Amino acid sequence: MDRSGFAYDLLCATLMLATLGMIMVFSATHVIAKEQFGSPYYFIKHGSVHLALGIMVLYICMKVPYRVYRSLAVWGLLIGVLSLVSVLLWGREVRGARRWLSIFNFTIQPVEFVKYSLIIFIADAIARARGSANRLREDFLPVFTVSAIIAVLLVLQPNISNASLIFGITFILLYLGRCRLTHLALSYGVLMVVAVPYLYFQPHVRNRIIGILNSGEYLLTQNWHVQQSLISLGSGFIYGCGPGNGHQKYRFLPDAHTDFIYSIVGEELGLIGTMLVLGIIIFIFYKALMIARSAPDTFGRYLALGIGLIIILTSVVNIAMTTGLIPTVGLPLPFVSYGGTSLLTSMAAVGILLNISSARRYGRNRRRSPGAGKPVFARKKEGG
Amino acid sequence: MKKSFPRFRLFLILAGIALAGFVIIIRLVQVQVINHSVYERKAQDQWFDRKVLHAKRGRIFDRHGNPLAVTCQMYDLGITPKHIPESAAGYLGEISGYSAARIRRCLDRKDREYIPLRRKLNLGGEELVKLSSMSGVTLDAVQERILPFDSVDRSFIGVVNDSGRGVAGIERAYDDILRGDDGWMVTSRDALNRSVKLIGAPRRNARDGSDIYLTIDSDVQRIADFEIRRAVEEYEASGGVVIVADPRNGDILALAEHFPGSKNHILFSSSCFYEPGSTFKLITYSYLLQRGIVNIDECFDGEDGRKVFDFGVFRDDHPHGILTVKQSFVQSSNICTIKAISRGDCEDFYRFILRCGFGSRTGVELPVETGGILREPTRWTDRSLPSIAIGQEVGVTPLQMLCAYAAIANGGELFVPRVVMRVEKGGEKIKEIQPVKTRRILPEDVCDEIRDFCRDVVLEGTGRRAATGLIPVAGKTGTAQKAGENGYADGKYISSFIGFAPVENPRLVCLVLLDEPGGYDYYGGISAAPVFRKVIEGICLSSDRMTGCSQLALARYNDDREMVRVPALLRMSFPEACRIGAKKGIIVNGCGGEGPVYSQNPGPGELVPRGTEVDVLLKDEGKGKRGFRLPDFAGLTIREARRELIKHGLEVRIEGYGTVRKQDPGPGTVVRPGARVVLYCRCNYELTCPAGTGDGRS
Repeated sequence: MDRSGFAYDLLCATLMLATLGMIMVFSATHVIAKEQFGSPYYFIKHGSVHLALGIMVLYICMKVPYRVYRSLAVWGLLIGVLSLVSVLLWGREVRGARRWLSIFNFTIQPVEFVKYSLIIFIADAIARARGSANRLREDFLPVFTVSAIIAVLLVLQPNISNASLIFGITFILLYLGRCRLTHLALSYGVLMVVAVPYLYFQPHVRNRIIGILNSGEYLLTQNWHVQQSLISLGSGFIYGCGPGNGHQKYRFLPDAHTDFIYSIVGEELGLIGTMLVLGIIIFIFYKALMIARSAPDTFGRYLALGIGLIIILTSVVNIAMTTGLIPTVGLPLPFVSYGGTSLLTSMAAVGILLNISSARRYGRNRRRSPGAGKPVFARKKEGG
Repeated sequence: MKKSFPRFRLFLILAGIALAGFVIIIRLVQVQVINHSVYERKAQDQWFDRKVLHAKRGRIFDRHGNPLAVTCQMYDLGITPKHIPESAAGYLGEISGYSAARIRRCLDRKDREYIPLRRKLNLGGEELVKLSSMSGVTLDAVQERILPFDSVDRSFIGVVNDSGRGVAGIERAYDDILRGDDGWMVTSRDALNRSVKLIGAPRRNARDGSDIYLTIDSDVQRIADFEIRRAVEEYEASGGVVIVADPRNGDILALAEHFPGSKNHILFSSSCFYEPGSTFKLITYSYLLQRGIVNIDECFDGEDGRKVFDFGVFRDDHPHGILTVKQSFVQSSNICTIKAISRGDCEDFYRFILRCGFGSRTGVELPVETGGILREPTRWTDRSLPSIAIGQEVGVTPLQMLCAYAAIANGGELFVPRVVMRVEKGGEKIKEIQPVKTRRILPEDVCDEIRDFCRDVVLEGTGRRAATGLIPVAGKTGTAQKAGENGYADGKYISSFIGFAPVENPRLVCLVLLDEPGGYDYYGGISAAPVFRKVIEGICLSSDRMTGCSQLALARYNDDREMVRVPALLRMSFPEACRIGAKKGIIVNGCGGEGPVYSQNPGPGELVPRGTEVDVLLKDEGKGKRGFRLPDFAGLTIREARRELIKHGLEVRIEGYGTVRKQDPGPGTVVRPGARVVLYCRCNYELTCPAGTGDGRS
């Protein structure tokens, strides 16, 4: 196989980010790990296992031709929806939300898997529409319905942030898939009519929004997370206080190793650290975009773009949350936050990106060959 | 089939993402760089605490290194009921001195977050470790100032308030030196307020205060304190002062004040003034002799005790006829004195009084010193000159009087009274305070003359009761009426005696002042002079301060075992009296009840042949009751507990210092008179200096 298009820099950036994440997770957790589990290395041990598994998954996904996912899209989605339903039925409840599913001592968060299944499904749908999903019944409605079902299941957890993310990704992908603006506008209208009253009656959502609006007043009640996060970031200054020297991890900053890992980065590595992490994420998105642009087929193009979008949007939302720009939500920072499912799926996604990147030249070669486009056509016929 | 993304739509999406990224970068710069200091301060506030490291307050010693005031680490004990198991009630009760039932009642109040149980507990190392390890027990370290030597008054040594500042007496005057410098330490904590170990935390160590060595001699102080207490009780006075000083350098050797009714810590000796009465005639006669206004052989008519002058009527309590100058001083004749001073000049006399240190502060290192009252001659009336000459219309402090007498005693040099000898830190001398000579107020020959006058006061004048066979003493009596609403108050006197010993080369000068002595004993010669005698005798017999000048007399008393001085046995239990009598070489015969001694014959201080039987009357307190049920002495001072026990004829032994913590036998035990009760006191401080002096008079 010709590997000239293989995105080594993407692989390096991903591994760099994941390693940095490991270090920051260790720094953020050694205090509470010692208290809760008796060993300061508790989280770092699990994190190492996650990373090792992640690299394995990345390697596998890199080797598996991405077109295989097209045929698996519906099945993946089905499994995803079923797992979401089972989360609602048997999931583990943490702080009022059922988001985790325990299987054989492993705790997984199905939503991470569902997100990527949905991306594959949408990319497949757009590819079936040959890059212009402008028909209502054939293109728009199936995608929107699936997204809506997933979103409803997520809202029931409740996990409004991921539900919003799902809709966001769906709309952006459809928009870029040349969907009609009227369809998007109408569905967006319907969504708002249903969602806004619902959210208004959710106390925790309202409180978080109020907390943002009156920063300072709700210091010890609703707004504690944000205030502590800002203190972390602000005390870091340009150079930070050095890895391991932070003080916020002494129980001041809640969820320091998961959703608020970026604050720890800011405290210990300063502006340099936060900019570096942001830079690497933007670089990954840029690489995903480049891979998408030169992908050999429509499916690969939209799949790569979707993956890039998930990574960048999750990161942006997470960072905006830690910097107090938006209300507190439950989205982790990809690659950096502690969390097995998130890391594994993100690594798998990068594996897929790498696979698409390496398939690029091959695809061009194939286009020049006499049989070019034939498999695509055939598959399209199957899907249709 | 479209080969790429729709360009415009892609541009829009990317622009949106770029905008979000841009906003985030701006925000990061704002939070991390521009507003850094704001968040830094918030972070510091929640991470760090500044803990004050208390400096150890310096100790106060007497001139021989006996501790007069030391700091003891004590603990305030508090509990959080819900965290304490019921089983701990017994132990807490034992520690705090409350009954287990009471502790249990406290423990039942589960709603209370904190109950203060007992303040200022003196805890041993073992108790400390055990209490600290118990959950729900709070120990707050406090520094308690204790006076191990209870013969020195709080108004002199001073008081330290809860924030560690000296607010009275020496503690206040030398607060800067004693207090030291508090340090601080940065401590770090987590969000649950638990401390986090911080490596290399900034701190400034506390600098402990320095130790102060007073000029006080605790042997002399003990005698002075005992005598003034006894005198105040005996003469039913409202208070009294005894000050002993060394005339050669102005050292205050003892300063004992006893004002039973007074609750504040005002030092009478330096902060209050009184009309000195006849003791002030010393100044008048010094002036008359120095200026040559009167001739030593001149005579004045005493006018049989009543004389109408142009400026008013003056009287003598004891009428006299013709008196020489010396006799008029010795007999303390007001009329003769006034006749003599009438030849003097107001302005000149005023200046002389000023030179003697009146009307201005002596400069002693004690807080709130007053200079007394001395009006300027321009404001004098016709009556002022004679009045001042006999010690009226003038306000003086006891210390001023003492200084003036010390100057006469040492040949004319006025000294600043010295209270502090030196300042030491960690055994190293850092400051030596030298005696300060203010000025010469009289030439030597006049001083000799005046000393001779004073000697005669004791030999044949008003101060005969001050005479002692041990040592030649000299002095002057004084009886002053106290000022009331209009003029002088009837029946309220301040009687005083100021004298020195020995007459040649005096080594001690002593002031005795009794405020409002009751009955007919208000004359200085009757009430104050005996106190002076007892103090001087006590010093001669018990301290080596007088050796060198009275060797012969002392030798006679000590070696010639035929004569002994009857000790004071009042208020002692019979066994105690017997023991002390045996030590002194007399036999004590008890009669009456089984309580403490309330009367003795011969009286205390009298010279009797060795082996004399001293009859003591014992108070009949038993009234058929054979035993005495011991109360709980915990928390009382040694003095209070001791008084109570002695009253019931019990022997007392004291362990430690400060307030009583435990007693053996315990409260409620019925004991017979003569039994021994051991009081265990709160403080067992460690000393690096010479050993302590016990609890005082024992």
